[in-house]
Amino acid sequence: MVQIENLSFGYTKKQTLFDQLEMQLEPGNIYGLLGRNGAGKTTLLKVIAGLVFPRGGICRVEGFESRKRIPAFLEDICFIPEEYHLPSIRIHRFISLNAPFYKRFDHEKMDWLLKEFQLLREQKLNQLSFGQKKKFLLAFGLSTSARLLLMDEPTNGLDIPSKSQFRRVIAASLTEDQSVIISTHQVRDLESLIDPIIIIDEGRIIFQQDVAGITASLSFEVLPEIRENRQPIYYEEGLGGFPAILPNIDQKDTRMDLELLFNGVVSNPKKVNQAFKA
Amino acid sequence: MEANNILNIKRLYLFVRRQVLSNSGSWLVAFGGIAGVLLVISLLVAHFQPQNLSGMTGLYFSVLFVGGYVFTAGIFNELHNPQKSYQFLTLPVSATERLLGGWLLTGIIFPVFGVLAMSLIVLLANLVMNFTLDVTPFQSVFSPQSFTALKVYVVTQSVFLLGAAYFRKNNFLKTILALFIISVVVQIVVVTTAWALFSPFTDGGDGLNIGPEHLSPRMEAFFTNYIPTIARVVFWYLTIPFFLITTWFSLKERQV
Amino acid sequence: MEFNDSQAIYLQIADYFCGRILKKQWKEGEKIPSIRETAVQVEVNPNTAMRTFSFLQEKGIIYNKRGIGYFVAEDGYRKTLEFKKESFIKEELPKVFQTMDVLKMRTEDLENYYHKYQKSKENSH
Repeated sequence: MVQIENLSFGYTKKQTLFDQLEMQLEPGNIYGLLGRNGAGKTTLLKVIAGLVFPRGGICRVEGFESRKRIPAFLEDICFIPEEYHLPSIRIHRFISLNAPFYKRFDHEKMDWLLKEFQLLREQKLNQLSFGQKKKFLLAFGLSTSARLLLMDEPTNGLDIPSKSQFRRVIAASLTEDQSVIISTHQVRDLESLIDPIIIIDEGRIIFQQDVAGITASLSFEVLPEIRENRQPIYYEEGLGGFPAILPNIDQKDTRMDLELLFNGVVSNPKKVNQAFKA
Repeated sequence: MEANNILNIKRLYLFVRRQVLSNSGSWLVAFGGIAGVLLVISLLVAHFQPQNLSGMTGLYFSVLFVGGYVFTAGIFNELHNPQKSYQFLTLPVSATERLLGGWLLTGIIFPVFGVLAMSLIVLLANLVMNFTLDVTPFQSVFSPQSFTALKVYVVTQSVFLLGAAYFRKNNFLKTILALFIISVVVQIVVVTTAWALFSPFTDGGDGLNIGPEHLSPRMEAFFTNYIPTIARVVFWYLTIPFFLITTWFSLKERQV
Repeated sequence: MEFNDSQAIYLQIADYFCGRILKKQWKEGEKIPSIRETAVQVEVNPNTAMRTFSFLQEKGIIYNKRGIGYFVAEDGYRKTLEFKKESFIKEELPKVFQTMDVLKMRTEDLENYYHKYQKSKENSH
């Protein structure tokens, strides 16, 4: 679905954000894109959407080169940025003006999502709150039937019920030929939703695994003490012990601690990835 | 399938429709406001100095030119704000359709509406104030000079279309500034060239000494025949294609 | 649905299913929600819900009728009981024993507490 080969990118000649970045994504997944601030999560989404152009290498979505931005490609992607501005027109007018560009636009889904999000067709877009605007964009994006949805920090600015609504809507409305890439640092909000996990750091993809694979190779435990004979791959100091990532030798089925995993991968990607080869 | 991704009439229509209906509010206010002011002025002129009413055409066209340039410079206004441009750039429309849509609106549809508004103003001014259907002022709107003026508008507005696609903010002012800078550069080039051409003929004096008596007959023919012809061809036939093509590249290569 | 931190999410969903079967809220032979409905209800990735279903199917607790959906197996109640008993012995009991060791309690003490518990349960009825 998404193929990125040998991608290099920088906003200025001197600065390099991505260097020889490689990434392959398959349909039918809700990818979670994690990375430190400034690691280039947003930029990577923009490269995939064809909004910024790579310095070298190539990015394709469904075989279309992103930077060419041809209509068939644009119909298949939907980009929901973290911050946006909506025109001062009513919801129904926005739909009637923009939906016809998408041949597979699903008006029934649009109606259902508007109802779910308690948005009215008569409401003016510029008068909605930040969270409502985000919900509207999400509803519209999901209704376009675009095969690839790119969302930058989608739960930012949503209240707690809305976050839960967001997870339900995403789980409910994705079809098997669609994929989502969600960039986030709000790990807690989306931990149960995103799978596989992609971590980007220092210009490259340093980790990409699905959750079943992660919990098969790693176990996430809180150790009372750190012993020589059972060295964790990574651990932190907590109140009730040491939250730790261990090689999953006795086939335990622990719950993935995404925050811990992220910290572990970023602090020592080689060591974590080693556990998957064994 | 490939051609479908370059130019599709239905998509072009949808794009023009989207641009018009998303902005119709502000466009109508601006267009109506300016037309209203012109109407009031025309009514006053028609009442107090009816003989000068046909002279108003000059004012109408000046307003049409300036208004059209400002309108053109703002036609891709979504590109001027990163929080809006993502939506404009990911809309399933090709660069060709974006270009043609913008050009049709600003270069063709706008002057048509402008002329219609002028006719309406003239008509109203005559009807309401003089209770006659005098066609003389009406003729001035549809005179050959007016037609030439419209052609000049269509040619020159293409420069502002490039400005609309190329600059990120204050597109109208930046385009004017760019034109000013370019004209200064052109003048410098002309003066330098003139210096190079004419200085050998000056007899010891310092400074330029331009005049037909200093020019060889062959050069004179060149300046009186070729240069104006070339200039005419360039202006009438090459300006629009050149600026449309550069605008197309500018839209195609535009990043957030 | 609130998940705890210790167990894989797909197992926590499986536990929730088992609870419904043991409380007879889902009867044997009855149709249960689809994978997607489950994912939406508990707000998880459909892949995770899928793991729950294939896990319970492996245990013989539920089965899949192609094109129709998932159903509780004919002996689903017994299978669930077996499975829960096994996981209680394997996972919960060792923790209890560990705590008992720390608190220096003996198994005989437990019997007393168990009788008390039973009595209070009878009284409350």
